[in-house]
Amino acid sequence: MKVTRRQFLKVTGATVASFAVIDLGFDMTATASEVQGMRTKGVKPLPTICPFCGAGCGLVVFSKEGAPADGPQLLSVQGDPDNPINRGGACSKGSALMNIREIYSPETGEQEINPERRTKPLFREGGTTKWVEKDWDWMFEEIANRFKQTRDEYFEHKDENGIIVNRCEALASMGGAALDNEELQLIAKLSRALGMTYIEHQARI
Amino acid sequence: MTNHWVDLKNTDCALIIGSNAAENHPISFKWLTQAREKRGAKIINVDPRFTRTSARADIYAPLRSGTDIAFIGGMMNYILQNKRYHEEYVRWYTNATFIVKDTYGFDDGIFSGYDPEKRKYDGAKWAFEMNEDGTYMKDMTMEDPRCVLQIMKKHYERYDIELVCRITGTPKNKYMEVIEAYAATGAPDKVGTIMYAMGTTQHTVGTENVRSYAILQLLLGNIGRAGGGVNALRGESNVQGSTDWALLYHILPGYLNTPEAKKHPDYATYNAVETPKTGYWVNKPKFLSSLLKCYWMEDDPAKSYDYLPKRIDGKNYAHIAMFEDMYKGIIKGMIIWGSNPIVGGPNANKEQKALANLEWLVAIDLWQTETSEFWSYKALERPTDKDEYDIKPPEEIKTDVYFLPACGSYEKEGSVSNSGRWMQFRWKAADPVGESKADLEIVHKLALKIKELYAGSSRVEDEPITRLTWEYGHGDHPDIDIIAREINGFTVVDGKPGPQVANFTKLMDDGTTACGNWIYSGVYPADTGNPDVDYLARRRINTDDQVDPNYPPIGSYSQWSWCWPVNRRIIYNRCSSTPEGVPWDPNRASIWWAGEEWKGNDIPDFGKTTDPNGPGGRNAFIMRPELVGCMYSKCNEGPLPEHYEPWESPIKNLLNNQDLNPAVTVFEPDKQGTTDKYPIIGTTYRVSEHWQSGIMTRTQPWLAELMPNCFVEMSEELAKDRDIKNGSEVIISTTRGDIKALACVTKRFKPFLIDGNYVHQVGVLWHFGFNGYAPGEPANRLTPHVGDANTTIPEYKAWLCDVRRA
Repeated sequence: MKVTRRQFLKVTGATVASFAVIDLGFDMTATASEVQGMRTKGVKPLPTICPFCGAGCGLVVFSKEGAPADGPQLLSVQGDPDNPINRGGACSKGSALMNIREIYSPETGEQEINPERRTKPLFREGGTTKWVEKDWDWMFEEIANRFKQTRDEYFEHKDENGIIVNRCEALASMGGAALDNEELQLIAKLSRALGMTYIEHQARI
Repeated sequence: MTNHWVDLKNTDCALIIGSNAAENHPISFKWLTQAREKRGAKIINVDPRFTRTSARADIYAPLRSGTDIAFIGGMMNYILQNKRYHEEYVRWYTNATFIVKDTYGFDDGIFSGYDPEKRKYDGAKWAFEMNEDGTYMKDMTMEDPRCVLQIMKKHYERYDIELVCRITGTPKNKYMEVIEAYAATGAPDKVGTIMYAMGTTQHTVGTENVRSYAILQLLLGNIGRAGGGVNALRGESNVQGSTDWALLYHILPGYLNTPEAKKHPDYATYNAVETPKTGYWVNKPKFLSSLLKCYWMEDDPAKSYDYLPKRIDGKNYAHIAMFEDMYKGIIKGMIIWGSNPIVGGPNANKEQKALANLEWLVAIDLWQTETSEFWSYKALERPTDKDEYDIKPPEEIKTDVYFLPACGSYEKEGSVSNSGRWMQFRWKAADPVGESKADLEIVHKLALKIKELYAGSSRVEDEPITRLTWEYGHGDHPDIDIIAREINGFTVVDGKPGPQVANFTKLMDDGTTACGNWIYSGVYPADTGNPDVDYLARRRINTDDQVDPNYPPIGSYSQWSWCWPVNRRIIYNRCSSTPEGVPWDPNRASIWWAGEEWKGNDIPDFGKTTDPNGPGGRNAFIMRPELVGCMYSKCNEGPLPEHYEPWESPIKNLLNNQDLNPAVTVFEPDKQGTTDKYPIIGTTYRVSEHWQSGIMTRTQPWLAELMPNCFVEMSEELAKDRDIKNGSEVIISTTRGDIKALACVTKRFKPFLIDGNYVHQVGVLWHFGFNGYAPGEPANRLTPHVGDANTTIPEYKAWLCDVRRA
């Protein structure tokens, strides 16, 4: 479900006046209109939850409206003063959250996409020493076929006692405690449909 | 957490044990500090090392890694002997009154029913006496020698102060201070909280460690109350959700056991075996039926039950066992959704070698995890010649590896559930970097592609896939609103989604409802056509309203996001009131009996109109078949926690003659280190600037600069003994491997006086691997493949090592 900023503001506005006024504790749009050219003009604040520990601190991502999709878009990421858990506070990791997308280049000082981020699917063929870039279609085709081949070769429909077991013990799934709940819903469903019994993630370790 | 973060402000005393909350969950101290300033609360920290938490505590007591049960057992002994427990609470809300059958026994570390060959117990020997009408036999005076309270008294009388301190190395005066401060919360109007983390769980007695805390809390009347509880401080943003969704071998979403072949061959047998006769779990068939309908909507649950994979009965598939099986070549293909086991897994050398036995590996992450490059030359480098697992160079590793770039948390939308079970929504605030995609889109496209490959099949063994319901809208990106509706559940009409159900009380066992995870049912209860209003995880109203002039609000923030179950912020909250339904403390009232129904600052964890003085009016733990909090219960190693030494320990067990937990599986007997070669206790820990295996933080310049190196922290005494200078390179060595790290010599570790001898302990950061701005060597190349007797969580926190100059 795609929600535009206008829809989002309209909806939250129906219940709590407006995100900018109530949720951030100050009216950003008014400030922006009064002070022409201020840095907050065209700024889009959206609430998020820190992806690190399990506290669930609220943070606000400030991004530039209309910034090109393939480049830097962020102004900052700061503690969300409205979230009752942290009331605007953030630890060292939360304070640095902007860096998972963008950093300031050590050479030029310019804002750039974090070069450690991987931006293309990669394939390493067994026995070789390098990654090769591939496109997504090739990846999905290949991976789906690997699942099918392994499943078909090792699948047990019935066990030695004639009990229907529908399992494949040659497949395993690991992760992930940083996924969203909606993602977990689909991964849980697919893993079980494939007959996996080795399903594990960070909660175990 | 039974409670939640904001609720820490309500406590009178926080016992932080097995957690460095100030460093790893800093926000907890916002609320603890408030409790101290406004309520005069005390903060106690028990830890092998003087940490940032200790520095902010009123009382710090050191204990040797792996001796929590001795420590807590001694506290329980004192509380039982001196009658410091909360008597009315214990009488009504726990099983202290239950009579245990005379087949129960305990002798020198072994409970009755033990089979030493199989290293397994027959738990039936520990059962309760039943009345003829099927109810539990009780002694409400708690004086019968076979009632639980008396059995506990006898069991823990061996845990006297002197002996406990010889085992734990805690100075006696500090131990007494802790006991006195915490026992004070046994007063009816006082409440204490226990906060713990992986320092508690990552032991061969991890489950019993947690259970000892739970028993202590029940004794003191601290569960189900504002400012109390047993609070696991969870380390990942959605490890609560991923546990609830059961990406684990032993459960299905919503804590239903996964079926085992012989035990649960068909649907009817599963329901018969798994459904208790009392307690809320009598509804289990409704939850299973609705889950099956969610997965295979067009089939009858009795049929689609067969589609679920059935485990081999009794087989262990947990992380360590999984990697042992991979090492043996049983597993051929693996998919990893954001996880880095060759840094974060135990015995990382062995796990790295196990990966090389896969035919193929799919790794999905934002970053190039060390695991995704386990085959590289970088992964081959070691500081010494030690190579216990014969790690091979790239040319000899045949595994095909597929790496898929995932996007970041604010480059997509979705919800995460925090430690306090609050399900909070995250809005998409920036575009995915490059070609990276949300995991949601990756799993969706993969599922569609696999379904496409099987589309023409009419084979019965392919039905779990061909019959799978996978309708998440058009286009590449699935519609998150459809998923949210499915999580909540709906009525199935003509094999299609119908109206939303209000919550899990509306789920049915006849195939007429579907629900992806029953404990989350209630998060999308209505259908106004506006997902921003209907999906309650998106709520952002942050007022803490007063519902009754007599009872001030307690920080529930009930309209902020949503929390499971049914937006209940503190679970077991029936215990917050007296047996008659009056709050133990009116200033921290959770729920109260208002004459005709329960009202409160929270959703009652109880029948809304059940009279406290009527039938069942005091059955405070509705999820238990016993309907009370169980101090005496069934774990794989016994009905009560007993102290056993870690698998690798510097001393014999002083409490009994069983050194190792008798129900633990030993995977690698030949890798057990002994004190002649490895005299130092090792443990692992984290720092605020890094996160878990470090791949999310070593890749960030600010954080990498703040904490650039892997270090091993040690006492000044040990450093002097080994001629090691602060900041110099040292080798840490175990039977599994060696790593190099920088020495961090501090006053924060002190040698422990254990049974008359000094024993050293060191701690190694486990955030490091060979990639990122701040590379270092993984501490888990040192840790063993041995785990807890119930969960197989690895014993990362207590092992034997040696340290020398590099």
